[in-house]
Amino acid sequence: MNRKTFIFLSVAGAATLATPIAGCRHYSDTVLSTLATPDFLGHICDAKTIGNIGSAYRTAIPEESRKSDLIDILLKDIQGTPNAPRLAQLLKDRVGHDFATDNVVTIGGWVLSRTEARQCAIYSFSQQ
Amino acid sequence: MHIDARQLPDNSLIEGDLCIIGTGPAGLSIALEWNNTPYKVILLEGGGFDYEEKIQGLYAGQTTGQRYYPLKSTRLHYFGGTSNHWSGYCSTFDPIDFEKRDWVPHSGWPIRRSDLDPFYERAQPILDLGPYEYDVAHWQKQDPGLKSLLPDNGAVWNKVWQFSPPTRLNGKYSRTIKNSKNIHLYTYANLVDITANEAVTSIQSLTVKNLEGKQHTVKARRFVLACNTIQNARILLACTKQAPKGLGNDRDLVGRFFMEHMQIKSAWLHLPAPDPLRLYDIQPGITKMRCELSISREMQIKHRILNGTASFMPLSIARNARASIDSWNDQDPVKSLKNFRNVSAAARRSAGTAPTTGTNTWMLSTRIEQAPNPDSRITLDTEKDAMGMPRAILHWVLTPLEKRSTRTIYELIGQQVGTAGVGRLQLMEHLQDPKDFSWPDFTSGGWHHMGTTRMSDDPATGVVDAHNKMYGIDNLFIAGASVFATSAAPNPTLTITALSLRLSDHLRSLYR
Repeated sequence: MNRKTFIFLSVAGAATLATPIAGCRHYSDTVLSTLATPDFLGHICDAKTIGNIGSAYRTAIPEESRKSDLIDILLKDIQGTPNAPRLAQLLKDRVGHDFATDNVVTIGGWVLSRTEARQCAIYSFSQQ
Repeated sequence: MHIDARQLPDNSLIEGDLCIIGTGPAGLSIALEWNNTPYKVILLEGGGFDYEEKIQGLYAGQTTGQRYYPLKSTRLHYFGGTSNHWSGYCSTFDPIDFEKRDWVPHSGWPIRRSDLDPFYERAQPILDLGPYEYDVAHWQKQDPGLKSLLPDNGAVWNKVWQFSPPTRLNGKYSRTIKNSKNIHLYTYANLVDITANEAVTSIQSLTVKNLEGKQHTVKARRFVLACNTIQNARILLACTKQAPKGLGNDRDLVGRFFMEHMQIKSAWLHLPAPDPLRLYDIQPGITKMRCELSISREMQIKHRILNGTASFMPLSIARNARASIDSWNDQDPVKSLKNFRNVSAAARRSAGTAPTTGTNTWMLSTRIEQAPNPDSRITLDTEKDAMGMPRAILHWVLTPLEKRSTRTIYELIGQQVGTAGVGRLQLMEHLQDPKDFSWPDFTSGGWHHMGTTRMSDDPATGVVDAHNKMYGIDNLFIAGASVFATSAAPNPTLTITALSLRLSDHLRSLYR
């Protein structure tokens, strides 16, 4: 995998991600970029694969096919407005917790934590 | 001593205390136990000491159902049997493999794993294996570089395989047998008929033939049928002159429950950094042991799945590897083996020299037991071989349980890989749809034939009892993988040998 490629595309895609959504809070580019960056997966997959996983997740789970819903789900239970590094750590912890508690989904054959699958789904909006 | 049955006068009478039919791992491991005893042991082999096309042709047969190898090529018909081309993979069955599992129809043995433990230990040197150590900690203590991919968890564990050189029983034991004073080996003595007493409760004699047209009679106090899983069933089913359904087949069980091990590429393991995974990798001819990932008893119970394991192959080799079902494709076992080895060697050559740092991506392949299935079976063809014996037809049938179990195994491994934070797992396409119970064309077997004269504590559900004695016949015993009630995941040779040693001890007790 080309991790740099993924991060580059991820950040570049933040502009797309940051497009205001009617009825939703506005999140900063860095928050959106962090939400759209599945950290561990980014070390082993390229951007296209992550986008494909995300699209497949949105198809498989229609109730989570909207960007605003995915963002709300991922930020739910997170107190305040954490900065990007803190948010990244919280998401990383949640990924580990997902695996440990069987909150796992198989998307496109990938056995993933539900949190990182949702992160892929958010990222996939930048590839549309 | 060795007698070529072709050189005997026609219609000779051969007599002994014990007659063992077959010289593969089952028959030979019993015979060796009886060397230098006061008993005259008759050991029958259908072929000679080398491969012969005409003799091998006796094993030809049809296959239907799940795609399978050419039947003639999967076993060898000369002294040493199929050990003359096996690859030497050995591991023990797990305790759960012997248990009755309510989600696995027809599961459960009349013996436990602990009953086999002492015999597993005795089987190790026969196959030139290392110490009887199948706990990974033992090997890691000797070589701390054998690091586990996963920390201890309750779901996935490291199951140890040991590798025989592989021992060719022909090369290793033919001299011992030839020099034995009390073991009388008859080559070119193919069993073609079994004669029982009038009540069909006891075997009186065997009829053996060879392609030179000679026929002899063999008498003994007890007989051990140790030909192989297909041949054992074939012979019993063909003995219809006194038992219309075949010998020991009053309940229509002989030939049923044929089992194989599915061996199929199944998933990709992606790591964030290269790793040699030495505990799991194999260097042919060098590696003495390695591990495969196995699913814990608790998880098998929780998910109601079969027992199976995952083996590792680096991407550099895997990308050029072919399924064995595609490379082992000639009726002639010599040609099939050559092609199989050439394809495997080419895949390794194309990978170049493996970096010591390892690789990021590994292909995981499944080795999984098959649920006992009465519809998966050996029957007889109307066509006959050169000895006048009906040829075998193999109808290999799988069930949805094998597919669901395979998928679940990788979901469980994937979860543990994620929990440990060491990588991510991706199931291959044929495992992605949970509603798809079909098997892709490249699904291969392990050349492991099991189950056609299964062991049970009830004659209604098995052909032999816990001591391998055929129900209803007081002096006929069956050895080999045909008595397996379930197939577990490991290659069968070690368990065949252990069970045969156990049978040998039982037989010895009957002669005291």
